[in-house]
Amino acid sequence: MGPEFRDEIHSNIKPYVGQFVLWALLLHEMVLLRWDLPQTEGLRSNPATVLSFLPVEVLTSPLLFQIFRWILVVTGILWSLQLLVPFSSWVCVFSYTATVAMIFENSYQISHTKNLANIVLFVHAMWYHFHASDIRRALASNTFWVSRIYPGWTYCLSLFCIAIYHSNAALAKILESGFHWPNGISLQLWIHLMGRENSLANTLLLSDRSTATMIQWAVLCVEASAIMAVFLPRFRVAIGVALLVLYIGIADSFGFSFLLNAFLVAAFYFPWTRIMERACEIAERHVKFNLIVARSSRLALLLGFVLPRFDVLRVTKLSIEEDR
Amino acid sequence: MPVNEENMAQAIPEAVVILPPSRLAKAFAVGFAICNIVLSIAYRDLYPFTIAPMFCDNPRLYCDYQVLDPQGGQLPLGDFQLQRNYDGNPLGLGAGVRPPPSLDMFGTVPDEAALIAHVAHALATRFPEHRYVDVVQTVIGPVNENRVGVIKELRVRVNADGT
Repeated sequence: MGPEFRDEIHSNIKPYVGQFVLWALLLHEMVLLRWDLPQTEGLRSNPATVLSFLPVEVLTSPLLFQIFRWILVVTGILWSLQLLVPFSSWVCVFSYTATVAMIFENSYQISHTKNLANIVLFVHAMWYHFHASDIRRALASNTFWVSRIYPGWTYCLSLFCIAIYHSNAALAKILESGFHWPNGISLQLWIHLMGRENSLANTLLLSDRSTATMIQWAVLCVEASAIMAVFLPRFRVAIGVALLVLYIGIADSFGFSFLLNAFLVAAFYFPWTRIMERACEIAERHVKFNLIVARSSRLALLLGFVLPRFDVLRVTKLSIEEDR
Repeated sequence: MPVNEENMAQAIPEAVVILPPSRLAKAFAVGFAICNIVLSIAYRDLYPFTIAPMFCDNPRLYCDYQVLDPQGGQLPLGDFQLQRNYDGNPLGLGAGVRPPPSLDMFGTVPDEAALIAHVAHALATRFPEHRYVDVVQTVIGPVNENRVGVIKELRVRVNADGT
């Protein structure tokens, strides 16, 4: 473990990255509302998820699926509004895991588009658990966005999990196929079978095996290097860019959308905290909204709740006027 | 009452300072990181932990199938267990239900005898109204140093008695 990484673990930062990621993931979870429990018949294959130990009747129950889905929505909204934490955080993470796990338990084909989001949500539930009173205090004093309340360990653990996920992909290729994996033929066959027809990259890759081989080596190197970015922060942005290019390439060649994974890479591999701090400085100097509301009005109550949570740039000044 | 600095709700309060992580938080974080590594490698896919195995295989060729009835109409591949279950991920890994059985295994080519025996069995048990079906097996693999394409096409007529 390098000294830079050790410093990062122990230095707390402002909560821009953590809270934005949380909002984005919780907003995305609403997509699950559109999903139904698949009705796939066939022999069971165990274990597939962390819930595989449960009886089949539980894992295949449409009623339970609906219940988890709605609990997820309610607790997702509560957590987004930072209410009833850490209770709402843990119930939200559990219901997210249960909802997706039930879909996986009832399918014979799956995609890995929700795994990372689930893991990062879990890590952030840990943040809200171990710092619930600090977060409540910061909200009450309207200092959430200026306090260094996002622990270094939460950031580093999230980054580590994202990095491990990508480096695991390289490991899986080596374990399964050895170093012969980048041979060009396999990539050309995948493109031939399920590639997008109107992709220029596919036309090139299908016509030249050397290029296909080179791209496979590049994929292997980029995935393997993902973990390096955790311990060597100076290479983080470069590796983040490479991973994003990889996701763009996958979307262009196959039409597979790993949007959440790409979003998480962008969120944790790029220095958003520094960028946001700078944006806040500029906003504070140039933009100010002065809101004057009566003490007993409903608007005062509403703004007193909303501003500490959502006035990220702190550009709004709330002035309370005594009732006449 | 006029607005002044004293009654401003946002009057620059002290930022909250959080304490270093407790032992419990440290143990929890380290435990979760270890779980993430161990479970993903041990099980390869145990949602939410995964080794992300998509496209980890190394195919050199694959097959496409068509089954035609005596009138030349296409019959569903699933009825003959020739459907492709492969979607880039190892078959069945991380899924709670096993894929339906199929002769088609991405990356392998069954020989003619195995194909005829397999289709004859399906024909006799599921389509007794057809005297025979025509099966087309197209093998896709490297055609030269640069490209992949059709390297073999096998067309066989399979009777219900397996001939």
